[in-house]
Amino acid sequence: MRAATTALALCLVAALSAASASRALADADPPSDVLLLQNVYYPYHPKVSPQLQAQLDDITARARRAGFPIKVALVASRSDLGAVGQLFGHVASYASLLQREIAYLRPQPTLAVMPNGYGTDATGPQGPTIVNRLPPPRTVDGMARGAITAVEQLAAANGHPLKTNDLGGGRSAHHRTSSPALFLFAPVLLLVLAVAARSLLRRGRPTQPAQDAAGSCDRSDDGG
Amino acid sequence: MPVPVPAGHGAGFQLAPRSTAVGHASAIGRLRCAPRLGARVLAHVELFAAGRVVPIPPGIGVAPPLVRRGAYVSGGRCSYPIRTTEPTGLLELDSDVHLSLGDLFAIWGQPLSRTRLAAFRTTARAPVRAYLDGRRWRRDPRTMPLSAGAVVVLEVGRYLPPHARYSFPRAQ
Repeated sequence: MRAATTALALCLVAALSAASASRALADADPPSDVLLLQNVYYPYHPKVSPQLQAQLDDITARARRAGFPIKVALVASRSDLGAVGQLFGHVASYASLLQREIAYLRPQPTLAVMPNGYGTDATGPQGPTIVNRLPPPRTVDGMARGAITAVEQLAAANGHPLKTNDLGGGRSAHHRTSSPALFLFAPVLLLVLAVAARSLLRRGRPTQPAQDAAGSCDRSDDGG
Repeated sequence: MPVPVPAGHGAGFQLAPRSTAVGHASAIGRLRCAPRLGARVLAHVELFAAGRVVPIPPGIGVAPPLVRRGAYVSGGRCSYPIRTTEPTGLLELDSDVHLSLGDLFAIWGQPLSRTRLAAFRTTARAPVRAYLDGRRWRRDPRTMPLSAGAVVVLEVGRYLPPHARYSFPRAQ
């Protein structure tokens, strides 16, 4: 009996070792490389429309600024998965794999989208429920639209609501980015106003000869 | 279920895409920088060191000024017979030139030998492991041919089972 148990244990160890050795190596999937450098992975083919790309880029950027730095992979075909093509159609499994590939020091909120549906990882306890309510997208543009909706709902569920009235337009983001520009140009604007005011004040005074030589247009205007 | 392998961070894992020669669009041996001519085919290379991914940057083999769009490089002054335009390890190869892995590393400006893989060093007892289409390549890794559909894995340190297949996108 004891010998049989030992033999069974040895067989189990051998089988597990073989299974481990035969596992395919991951991280030869394009999204895991691209998402280290940007928030969204777009499929090779067919292409997502530029307008929807801009909207999805915008909402993921806003989610990041709001404290929910989600990464999104739109996977339209096996070629988007490189060496892990066997996961095409297994969106939840792929989302989990992708999250573990791209996470650094802390869990990385991740959303994967395939034509058959959505998968999430590290998006909070409500994440799977939220994305499972969305209908499977039929086209790549549908995948992008669904991702926009999912990002908005996942951010809200994690306590980072994003404005919905500008969904797609991204106006709030532009407003935010314009504020620093205003600060930058305010001194220049003030300087221009000061120069204009000084010029107006000088018009009231007798002009100097040197200024006359350079200011013929002013004089003709005055004369008119 | 495939094994997740995280990308490495810090020194040795963040490699610049170009060498000084590529910066000046100079010839590298027989390889010259030229406006895009002829057909391109695709191959894939993946690097691992110490059980982590060594990201391959976009813009290898593309002379500056680079035209960037997010994580991608969409153009430059000229390009060599091997180049990368995305950070995925996808290689674009001139189909009418015989190319090797040594050519890739020469253009990249990174060392490759039995005991050296980019910034990582090892010993002759535990050399750089090279795989072509999932099979071990026991000769000098620089001599490995690069051709259409080649799937290359280079490792140093911890062993990771190499993949043998890769689903390539359509050539652009």
